[in-house]
Amino acid sequence: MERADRVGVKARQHGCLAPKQEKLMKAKVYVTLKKGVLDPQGKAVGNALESMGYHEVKNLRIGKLIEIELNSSSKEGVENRLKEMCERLLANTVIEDYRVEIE
Amino acid sequence: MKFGIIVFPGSNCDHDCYHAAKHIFGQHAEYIWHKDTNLNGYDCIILPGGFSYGDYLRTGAIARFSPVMNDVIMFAKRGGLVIGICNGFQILAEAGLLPGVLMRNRDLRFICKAVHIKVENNETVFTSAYKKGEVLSMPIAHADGNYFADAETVKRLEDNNQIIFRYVNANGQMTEDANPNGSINNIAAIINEKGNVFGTMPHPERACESILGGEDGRGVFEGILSQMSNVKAQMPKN
Repeated sequence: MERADRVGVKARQHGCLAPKQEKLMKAKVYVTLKKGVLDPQGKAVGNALESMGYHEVKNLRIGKLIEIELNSSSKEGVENRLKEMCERLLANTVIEDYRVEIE
Repeated sequence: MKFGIIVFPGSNCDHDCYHAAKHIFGQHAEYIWHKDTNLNGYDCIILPGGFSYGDYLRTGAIARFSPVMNDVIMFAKRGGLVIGICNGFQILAEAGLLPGVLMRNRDLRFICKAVHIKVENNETVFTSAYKKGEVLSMPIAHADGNYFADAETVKRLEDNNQIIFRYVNANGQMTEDANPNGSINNIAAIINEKGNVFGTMPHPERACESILGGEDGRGVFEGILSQMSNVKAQMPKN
């Protein structure tokens, strides 16, 4: 082992070295109503489009897009944290599904 | 008996609850700011109606994480009486103290009117002053009162008699027309399995004086008061 490496291992063991560097990441969280849950808002908007002449509109459902910027050192870490945020606050899993995209 | 009324940023029926408990029923009542975390000494906690945190994200979703909610959950676990009215019901559902969720009304409108409801279960602390099957009139005032839960949960509620009030017409019939907001099985109020946490969309505290349009809500308070000594005896110390 090179000296530099040995120092690094030792330093890490003693907690002297900073953790892997964090960077700002961007994520998108999509929250959508579960299949089978009525979406009166989506229905009203769909009907409006239909009455405007867009007869090809057969079904329309409305969800939420949440954009988040957050600091993290790994993509995997971000994903786990975002999942936790969705489970605890961003989605109500009784009626909603969520999907996370990290840029 | 001592009522504690939680005040979240955006609560607006806290004064109605205080008035009912203190001035109509002559009980001790205190406001509890949502950042306070001591519920010792209270017999019944009320989560009032309103628009906590502006209903942002989902109704009740942010209020559910107010500091006081940990204590409300502990209070409920110890067997303390908890009532959530309107926004309070939405918060209890978000907090998992009651099953299901209150979604946007079927017709997307805010509804503010008196409705008829039927007492489905009068064997609870909150409804013992009513007769089973009695038809009451109480006001509702909400945009998100459309009760929803998965089929399994609804079946469990039905089987355990946890549905307390249902929307009906003046004759007590459960019809689609009598359902103001699209709630599944016309559900207007439910109780937890243990029988100490009660959530209702209709406002009993606003129906306690004839000068305000009716007295059908009095029974909720009368039921609690008459059974309180009973509950106190069963409630373990902290």
